[in-house]
Amino acid sequence: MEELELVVENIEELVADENRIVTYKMLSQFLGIHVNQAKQMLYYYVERKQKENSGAQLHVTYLVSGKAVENGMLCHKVAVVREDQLEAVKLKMLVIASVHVYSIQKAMLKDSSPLFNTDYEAIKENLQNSNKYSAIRCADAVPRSAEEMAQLQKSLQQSSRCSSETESSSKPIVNGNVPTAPKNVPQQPKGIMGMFCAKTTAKTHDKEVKGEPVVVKDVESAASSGSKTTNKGNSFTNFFLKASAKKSSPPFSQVTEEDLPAKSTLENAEIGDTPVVLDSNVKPVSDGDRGGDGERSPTSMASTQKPQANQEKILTKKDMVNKQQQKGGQSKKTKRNVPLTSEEEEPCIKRRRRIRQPQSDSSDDEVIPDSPEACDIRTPSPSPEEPTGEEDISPPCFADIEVKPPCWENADGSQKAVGVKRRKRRRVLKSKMFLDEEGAMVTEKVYQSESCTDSEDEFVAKQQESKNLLGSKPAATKSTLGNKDQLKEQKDKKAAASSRAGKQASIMGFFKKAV
Amino acid sequence: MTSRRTAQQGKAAVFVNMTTLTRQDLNFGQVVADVLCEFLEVAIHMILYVREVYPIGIFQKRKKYNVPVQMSCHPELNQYIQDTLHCIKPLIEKNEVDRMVVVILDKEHHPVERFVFEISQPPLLSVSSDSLLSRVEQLLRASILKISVCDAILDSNPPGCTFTVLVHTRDVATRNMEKIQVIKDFPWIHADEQEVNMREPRLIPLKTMTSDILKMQLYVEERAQKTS
Repeated sequence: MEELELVVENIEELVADENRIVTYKMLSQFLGIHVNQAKQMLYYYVERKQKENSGAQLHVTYLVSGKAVENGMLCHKVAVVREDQLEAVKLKMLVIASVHVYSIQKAMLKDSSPLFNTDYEAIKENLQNSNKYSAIRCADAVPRSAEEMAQLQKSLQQSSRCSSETESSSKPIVNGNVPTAPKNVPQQPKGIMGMFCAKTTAKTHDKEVKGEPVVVKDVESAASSGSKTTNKGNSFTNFFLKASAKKSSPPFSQVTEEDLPAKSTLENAEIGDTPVVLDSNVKPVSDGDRGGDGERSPTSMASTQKPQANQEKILTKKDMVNKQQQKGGQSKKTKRNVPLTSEEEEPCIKRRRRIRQPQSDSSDDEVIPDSPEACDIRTPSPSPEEPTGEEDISPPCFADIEVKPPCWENADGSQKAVGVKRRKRRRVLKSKMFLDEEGAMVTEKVYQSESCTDSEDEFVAKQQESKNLLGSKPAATKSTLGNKDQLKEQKDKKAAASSRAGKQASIMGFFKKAV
Repeated sequence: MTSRRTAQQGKAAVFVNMTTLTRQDLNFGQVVADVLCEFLEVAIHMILYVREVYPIGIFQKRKKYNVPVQMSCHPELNQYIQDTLHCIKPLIEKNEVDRMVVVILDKEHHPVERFVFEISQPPLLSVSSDSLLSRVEQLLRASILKISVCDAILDSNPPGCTFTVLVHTRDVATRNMEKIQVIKDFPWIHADEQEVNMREPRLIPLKTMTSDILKMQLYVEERAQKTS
């Protein structure tokens, strides 16, 4: 009884004097009594105050728990309600499990935030013994022994190591970006730059590892993922190889720099040799690729040659790759033509010559042909002497293989369009000139995707224009010159046409293709 | 255990371990100003909610100091409060604020209640065991709780009340404030004596907190007869 009076006095002091919210949890912790006892104390205090009808108004909140139907579902409901809402909530309950005083305070609470605040403080002050006076018990909740703790720590360390490895890959997954290769993670969002880095890392990797198929696949998959279509990916990656060589990105430039001395020594001596070497290497693999050789050839070479020879061949391969990329970058076509051909000697030679030609162009439009040499490689039978001027535009590498022969067969100066429309889009570096606000001519070089069909038509138009402008000379040249010179003339005409036609043509072409 | 770098030597203080900071240390002033301004923003919102200056519908439950608090979601009101505190913050950094007062005015623009935050900062700070300011957070949380239940000891306000914020500064801070317009289109003016002084005030203390970085007293001045 004395204890009861003592408790009531404490509650009185807390509520009336200090204007504090007294919850049963807070009282339990404050007085060190069981929560059920605290609830009973609060109830006794409320009853006593109501009997006394003292001037000090008390506000009481109750906790009601039981079975109730909500949204058509039977559930166990636990609610903290004010005294004025108590009866209404009790009526809604199907079965009332318990009703007890939750808190007593002088203030009329507008929401439950102060109750939470009070309990939060009470528990935080006694964090170590928060359930000391609680009625909730679990027999299985036993403190762990020292041995168990040691085992847990070991397992945690192991799992943390694994999680740290997977975190880098899991984070992009969480964000929605899943890189195909770990090394491509930082570059993946950058799009084009990611392709550059994928290629460059693949090249360096090839050098070091001597051509693992996995590397090739990773690069290809990265390329394909970046371009979203495998076919386009090949062309794009090849295109970027060339572009990256032009831009001389650091890792790639390192490769090129390393190859330079090899180039200087090998270029003349091995121009004739390398094709042979390549053939011997390529035959087992039956790859006709060149630019893609940057990825594939090391695999075949590793399988057939000694390490030193492999390195030389890798260098030579890279020479050719670099040259291609610097000059024409039709390597993407070579990837496409993997299953078809093994003829590389003449294409190599022709590729070099053809690649060099555009360099003499003064045109601002850098329409990078997709793969003239790819076409050459593709066709086993056609005379490599008849690559058409389409090389500049280049028959699309996406085109069906069946389309190719008609292309070659119809190749002439007229640049007849192939019967089958090849829908292909490729990215072309085009320079656009326009007048800005101040009236100055501004030239912008942008990568634009254009359909090759349109480009072919455009080229046809240009060719016709050039014919009209140049007169009979082109016709004469076409009829008399061999294929290589013919190509030269065609390219010159193209350049002339493009330059003469002005930038307007390219801009219109852009708009056409953009449709 | 600690690295003690005295600010008298002009070196930057490390806040994680034991440090001794002085007023010259800009980090200390900024930290106190940031902490205090955050608390004052929450406190103003809670006062407006508890004293029903604005309808309850514009308030939503938010979390601060790990407890739910009621904050307004009215953009203009929020912007007004933020601009006010943005102007006060430089003064707090330099310890030029004596007190900040949230005055609730009736329709005749007579103050009915004044929530006074008396602020003082210790000249020499020793952040010993409270490097994470957990003790400060606890005290601020208790202050918020006190504001929540203050309506039990205050009489209800008449309808149509408005509020304003007064800042009592030390020395010549007001002159500097006039020179430096912290926010454009948000000028500060000298408060009317009518708003500053209340007739027949009744002082009700709410909370007193003393911490390493901050000393604050929160009390309410209430007019005896609110309905004139």
